Amino acid sequence: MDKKKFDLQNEHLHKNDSNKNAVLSKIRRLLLSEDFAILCTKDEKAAYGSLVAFYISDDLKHLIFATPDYTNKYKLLNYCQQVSIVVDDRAKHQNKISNISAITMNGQATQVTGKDNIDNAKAKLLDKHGYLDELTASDSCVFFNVEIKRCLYVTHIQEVYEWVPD
Amino acid sequence: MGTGLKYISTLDDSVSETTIGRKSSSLARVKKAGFITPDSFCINSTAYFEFINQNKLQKLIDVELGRKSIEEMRWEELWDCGLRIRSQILKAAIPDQLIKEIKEKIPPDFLKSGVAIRSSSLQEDMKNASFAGLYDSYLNCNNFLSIFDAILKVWASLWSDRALLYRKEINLDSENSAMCILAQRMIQGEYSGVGFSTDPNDRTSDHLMIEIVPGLCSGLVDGSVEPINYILDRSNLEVIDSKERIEKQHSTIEINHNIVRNVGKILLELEDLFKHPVDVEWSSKKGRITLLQVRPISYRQEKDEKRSWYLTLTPNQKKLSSLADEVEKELIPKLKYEGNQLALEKLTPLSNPDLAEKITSRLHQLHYWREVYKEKFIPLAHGVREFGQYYNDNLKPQDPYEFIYLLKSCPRIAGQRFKALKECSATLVKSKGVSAYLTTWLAQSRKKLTEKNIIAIKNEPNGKSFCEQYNLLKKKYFDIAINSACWKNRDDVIITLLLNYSTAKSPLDDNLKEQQLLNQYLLTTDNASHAKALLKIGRLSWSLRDDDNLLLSKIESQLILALNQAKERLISLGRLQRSVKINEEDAHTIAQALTETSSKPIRLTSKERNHANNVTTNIKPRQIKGQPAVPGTVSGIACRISSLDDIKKFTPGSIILCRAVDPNMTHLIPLSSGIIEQRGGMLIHGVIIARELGIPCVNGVGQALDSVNNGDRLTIDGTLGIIILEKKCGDINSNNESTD
Repeated sequence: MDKKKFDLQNEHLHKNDSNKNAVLSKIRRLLLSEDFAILCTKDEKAAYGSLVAFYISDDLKHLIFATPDYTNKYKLLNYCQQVSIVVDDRAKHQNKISNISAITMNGQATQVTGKDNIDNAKAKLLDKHGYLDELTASDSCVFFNVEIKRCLYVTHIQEVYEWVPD
Repeated sequence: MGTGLKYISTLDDSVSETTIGRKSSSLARVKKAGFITPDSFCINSTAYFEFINQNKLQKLIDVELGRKSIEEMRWEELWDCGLRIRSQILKAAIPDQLIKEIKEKIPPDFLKSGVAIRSSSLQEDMKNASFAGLYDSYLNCNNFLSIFDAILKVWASLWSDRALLYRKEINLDSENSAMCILAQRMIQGEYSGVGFSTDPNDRTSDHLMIEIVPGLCSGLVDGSVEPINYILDRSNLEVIDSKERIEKQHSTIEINHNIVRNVGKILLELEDLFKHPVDVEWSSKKGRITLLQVRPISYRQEKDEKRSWYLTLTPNQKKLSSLADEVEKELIPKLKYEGNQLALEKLTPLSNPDLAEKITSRLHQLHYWREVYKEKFIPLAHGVREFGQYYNDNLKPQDPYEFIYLLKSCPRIAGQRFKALKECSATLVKSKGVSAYLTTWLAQSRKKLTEKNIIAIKNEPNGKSFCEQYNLLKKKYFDIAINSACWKNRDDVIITLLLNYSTAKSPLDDNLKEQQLLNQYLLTTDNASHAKALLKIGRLSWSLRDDDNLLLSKIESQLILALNQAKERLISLGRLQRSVKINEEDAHTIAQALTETSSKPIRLTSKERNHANNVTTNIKPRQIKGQPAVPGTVSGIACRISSLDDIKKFTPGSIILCRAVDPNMTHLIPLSSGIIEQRGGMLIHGVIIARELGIPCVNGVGQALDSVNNGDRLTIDGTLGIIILEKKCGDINSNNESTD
């Protein structure tokens, strides 16, 4: 390979900003900037998707949401704790599919128990979603903590990166 | 609007710049001030947006632009991106209402004079960036079909490679950018030209500059006609300098002087009107000066050298023809001759100072030819693109790269090398004794065959004929270099290739398709001689694009051979260790060391570029996007190629993964099942061969590819331009989902 000629043709390769740290920053930015996610649950017969308002921890390892205990998703979460959660920014890029980014997270959802833990989860969720005060004050409201096992970040329509929290 | 029409307005209507574009808007201002302008009308931005929406083109443009970040695209990829968008726009339908309105606006006498269809984008002709020549204009359209065709081409030029190159300055955006059109009655002027109210070459001077050509201005604008250049004193409009030819008659000079003085007067008046220096395109008929376009002179300083260079890569057909002549008849034979001459030189008998001199002269030769490569060979390669665009504009094919079929028929060095490898491999496979001997030899991890080995091979049945074939193969096709190593010094790599080459795929010879396309091409053009000339240049450019690289590599190979000779001598003097790898960058140091009497160890400064991935986060690409280069899907094991050692380890059927398939290694492609290149472009070497062989290829992949390792299992989707990596990290479920 003629190196000089190669350099002439490929100088962009050394400036490329799509390195892994940049991808992690993009994942972080997206998860922290979005308020809602699609929670995917399942039972033996079918899969089920529902919209949830969520809080995510700064290290991106834990996601919290609330639900009344009579909902479909509550029943399904008791059936299977393995969940998938999708967060995307399509609302910001309505006309530009190639600018939309989405994250699919896989994790294990566990109901939050114990007064301190519940208070803690409630405070975090309300800090981000103050309008949920009625729901979170209700007797039927339960909190779930999802331990994130893996994130798949999709950008430019079909460019996919996988991130696994330490 | 004044016309009562939805998509059309005239220069007399009070419409905003954002409706009709800057060019039309400036001309409307000029007309209002009393200057003469041609009969004109404007096709507004609503028409453009309606066209885009009606044909659902915005999403398509977004997908093309979104394949990868435009900042990461090489210029070849920008061209491909522009070509694909252009191809879709040219196939799309102009809204019926617009067709109706245009027919209404152009009476028969207007049509008879010919119509100029000019771009008038919302972004061009700004004070800080004129972007002259960025968009297309078409002259002398004399029927509605050619007018509609020109409109589509002008709209398409909003997304050309040139526009993409300046996307930031012009805020190019699929949602908000629009191309308006200025349609003008053609002025068949006796003289035409351009003029600048201040000398663009010397802004501080009190001069203005005017260029003049006989007839239409188009030849001046595209550079195919040499104008006469006049410099005038702004204070009295006297001609103070001109490049008039001596043989010009006095009367002609007198006419010219009168015209340029008139144009000069207009320029100063326009400058006063615009409160800014202006440049104009004008035409003169019977002493009447008509202004075709007016815009502020831009003083944009081009800081990006590569971008300026890229803009020179689109010579017009006349220049392309003379360049083709120069390259084919002078430069390539000279390059070939020099390579062959160097290969004949014996280095062993040379004294150390003579060898040092040889290294320096070979280095200079290499630098010289690289400059020629940049200045001559790369612009000639544009001939393929010129032809490709002409083909697509006329035939509007489903596959925008169909034109390649018409280029393949020329024999290239790479094609001859493939044939020679196949023949030599067939001899080797037939000669069981030779095959067995060489297989045993390869197991001994030797690199070069010795005289003893060659005698042993010759003693095997058919051994003598194999040796003759093998020596010829090496001499003709393997005196080339890859990553600072010479192929011809590595018998082990060539023989490994030969042992596997019987399985190499052969290109499909589809002569019937080629003939059909050729007939179709010549039938659809309205200018057969132009079409044939473009095809000829395209074919020449196509056939030379591999050859120039291979011939240049031969020169590089001779430098490396001289450096290796020097290395051996310096090792024996105890000044260099065998483990040190010498690169071209070390040539001066090595040459200097050969002339010294010192015994001190040599310090080399060159370093191998480290492409390894140093980032240690647990982020892994799962699906990588690139450019869809050759359609098809294949799964296989990745084999990263960057050196001769990698080539030796290559297992037939693997997927080649490399920064760029250089012509020095294209013969590996027929053994592979798929190609992935970091370098992008539809007309680059790897893609050309992969396409001929029907091997799926994705290129323009970028840095994400650094995360893929030798031996990783991959799937390539060459239709979508996607590489899917088999899941390895974070496999929390047993199911092995692969795509999203």
